[in-house]
Amino acid sequence: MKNRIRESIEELSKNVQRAIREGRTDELLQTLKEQEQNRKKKLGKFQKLQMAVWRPMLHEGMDGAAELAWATMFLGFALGAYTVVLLKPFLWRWLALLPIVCGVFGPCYVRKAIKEHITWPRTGYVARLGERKSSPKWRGAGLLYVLGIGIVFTVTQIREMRHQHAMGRSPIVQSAITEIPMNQAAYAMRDLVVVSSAMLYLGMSAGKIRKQPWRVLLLALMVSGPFGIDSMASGGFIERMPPLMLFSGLVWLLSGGTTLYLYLRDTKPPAPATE
Amino acid sequence: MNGQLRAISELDRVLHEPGRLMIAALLSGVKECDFLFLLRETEMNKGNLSSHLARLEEAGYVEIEKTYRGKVPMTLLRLTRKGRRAFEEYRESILAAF
Repeated sequence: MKNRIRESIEELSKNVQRAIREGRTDELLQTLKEQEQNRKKKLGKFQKLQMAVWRPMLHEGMDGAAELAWATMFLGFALGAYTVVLLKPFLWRWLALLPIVCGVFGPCYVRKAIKEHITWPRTGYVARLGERKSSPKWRGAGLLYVLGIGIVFTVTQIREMRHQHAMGRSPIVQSAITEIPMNQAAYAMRDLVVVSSAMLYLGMSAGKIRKQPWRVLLLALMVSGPFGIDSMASGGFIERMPPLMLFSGLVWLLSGGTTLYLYLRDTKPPAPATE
Repeated sequence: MNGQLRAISELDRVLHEPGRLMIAALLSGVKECDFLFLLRETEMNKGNLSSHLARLEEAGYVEIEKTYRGKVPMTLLRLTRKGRRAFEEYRESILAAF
């Protein structure tokens, strides 16, 4: 089998020697430079082709629908928690469940409504490749993640409360739902919510930060804000979580709202007879 | 013939046309999309886009489905398995060539 690399090196060497003998070194150098430039130009075109493949992914988050969906979730939980406190003395306190239900089911509907009524008629419909492949798998993984966090948190809380009871600090009869002290597990839970939210936001902002630098500010706010709020708040875990959720929800809302505004500003609806 | 040159001569001519390559590249990154999305992304006019899509459909690379969303007509487009394979082969050939 012929060695192609060796052959081409030998050929190049012969050409160089011939050019030197004939005094055509400048011409040879020029040819080599041109060849290198052509190669780079062709590779550049190929990289553009690669970018075109990934381009529809940018389309996914251009309208801020996902951010507004997350805002709905955070705000739903926060408002639910506040409503529980407000309606505690009343018989119809079950109404406090409504914002929480909105927080659970709202995100899907918010995203769908924005896509169906704003994005698809304006810039076209796109279904991601992953939607078909990984939906059940990722949904299952997400559910396991949330369940895992819940179980770890509950177990650590119970152990902590037993420990405190053994030390004679507090009675074990206190309900884990109505009164959870801010111990290490509660702080870890708070940090987990903040970090998960920030990571998610960073993931959604990937590829957009250069065009929308304000996202860096919102990310910093998302990370630092909860700690500032927490330092001012008092009470146990249940008392401290609603303002944190409300703050995170408002940051997501601000980001989603701004993205949607920019999308509406930068795109025009098509002429009535598009097809 | 040199292997690199042979790779160039074996490039898929249907996909090698820039307009059709652009369409195939965009469609390869999605499950499906509509005509409006391609129109905006490729910045072609409707006539050009339609003729390129017809050529790709003729080659069996693209599946075109005419449907409605509510009362609004919608043309759904997706790469067929053959089209996806052809695009991958094209990418590999072009990498091998350069």
